Amino acid sequence: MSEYANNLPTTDKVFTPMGPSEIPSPIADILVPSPYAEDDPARPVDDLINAMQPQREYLMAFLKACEQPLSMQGVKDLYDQIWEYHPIVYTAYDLCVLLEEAGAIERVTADGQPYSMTGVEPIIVTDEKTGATYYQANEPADMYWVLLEPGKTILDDNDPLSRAQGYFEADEKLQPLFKRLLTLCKEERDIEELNDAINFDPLAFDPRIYAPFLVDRMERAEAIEWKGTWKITEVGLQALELLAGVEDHYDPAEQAANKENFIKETFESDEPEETVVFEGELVDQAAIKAASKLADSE
Amino acid sequence: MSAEQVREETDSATIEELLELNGQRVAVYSLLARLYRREVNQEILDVLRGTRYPLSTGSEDADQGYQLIARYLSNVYPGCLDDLARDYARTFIGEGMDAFSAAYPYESVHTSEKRLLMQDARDEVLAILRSEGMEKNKDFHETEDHISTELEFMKVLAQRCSKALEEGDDERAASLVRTQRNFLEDHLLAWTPMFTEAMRKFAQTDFYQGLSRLTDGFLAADSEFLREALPEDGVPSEPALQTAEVTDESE
Repeated sequence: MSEYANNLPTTDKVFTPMGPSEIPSPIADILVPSPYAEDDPARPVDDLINAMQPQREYLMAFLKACEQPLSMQGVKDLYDQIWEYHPIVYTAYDLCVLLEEAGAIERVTADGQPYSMTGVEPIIVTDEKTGATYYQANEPADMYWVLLEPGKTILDDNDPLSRAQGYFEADEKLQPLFKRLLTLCKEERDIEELNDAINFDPLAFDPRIYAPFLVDRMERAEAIEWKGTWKITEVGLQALELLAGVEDHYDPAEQAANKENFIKETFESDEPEETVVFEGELVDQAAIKAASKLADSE
Repeated sequence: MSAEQVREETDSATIEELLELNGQRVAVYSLLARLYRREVNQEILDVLRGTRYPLSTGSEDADQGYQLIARYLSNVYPGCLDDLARDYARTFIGEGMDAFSAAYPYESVHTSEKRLLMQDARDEVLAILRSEGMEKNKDFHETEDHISTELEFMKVLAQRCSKALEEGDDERAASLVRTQRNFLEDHLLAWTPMFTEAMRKFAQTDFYQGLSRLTDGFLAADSEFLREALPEDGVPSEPALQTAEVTDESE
């Protein structure tokens, strides 16, 4: 009996409460201070815009336009201008409501007072023949959208040049290609021209990237814009100055040769097809190439 | 003027009143059926804004419903159709799968134990529709016991009733009133109180809150009207009785 008791853990060993220093490290690694702990009214707006990157241009344009009270028709006109080159499924009103819910804009009346959804009471009319009384819909108050402080903060903090700088620093090796893209976009370019200029450059092979990758980053940085063709913006010209020290020896003829070689090596090689092992599975390289050829021919 | 002439004039006025009342019933049933069938669009919004809504109908629910709807229509704004469409989806479609996530506009859901679609209520409504020579339009992709179908059925019966009155076919009119009363009590009123209560839980706009009140108030008032028009024993009361008497005399 005493032997059995001795083999049991003592209360001291098992139930001693842990001090903060004894908390296993994985918990401390997982739990980090929350950015939401700080009371930042602009954060929901920032989150919204980051979560809606494809609609960013609309949201930022709406914020900018709402610096002055803007009617829904005004918003719709702006929306239509952007929609011409960037069609989306959201309506202008949808986007306004999202910005409103994030606290970036609010509805006001013509005299700047907060707009109320129940502010106007119906008219009471009396039928002359019967004397019965009726409600009749009244004329609604005009509604305008106006920028709030959190929205203004987002506009003020918007620094596209810094974002461009961030992309350049994140992919230092690709800086010559960024420079090439921006330089080419001094004139209007379609994506095919940009593909030919970038996709077959040795710099684009490790890791493999394609022109749209760079285009997407530069568009996010507001350095280029799509108006039926890609064109550099004012921000883009400034971003180009940041890359002044970067050397890029772009030669269209050389890129065309690269493209030709790449196609030749990939599709017209006389060497026996190799079998590539990819994550434990045997991949038939010949089958992949055959499928690519078929897709191209279609 | 003879006593007979006086009586004929009185009866004629009563028929006209009945026809007018029936016309109003048709209009309200038609409006309700449309509003439940799908979201409000610009066309119906314009119609609603041009409509006058009675201030005092004698039904507290209906009065409140009309007031809420009239107030909403006095505060429309660009984008309100989007908001109404959202509220329609939130109220009648919902986003959950627990059968309690929206005000489901189907009689079967509210009258079956497991709150399922296509239950006995739907079969009964289908049989009644067919007995009156009606089928659901194939373009309407809802069940026969959808509230819009049931409201529209009442509307059609009321229209037929008016036609029968105009043609002096009082027996047919009485039969139609009886069918309406039975359908209203056995079907619409058997589940709409639960449905409209759920509407008030989910709807966020005054419009759909008002619609729920109006539905309650109107259906209750209509039930009262149909009961008065044709009591349980099947003998038409005033004014329907007077109409029948006119026919008898003419025969």
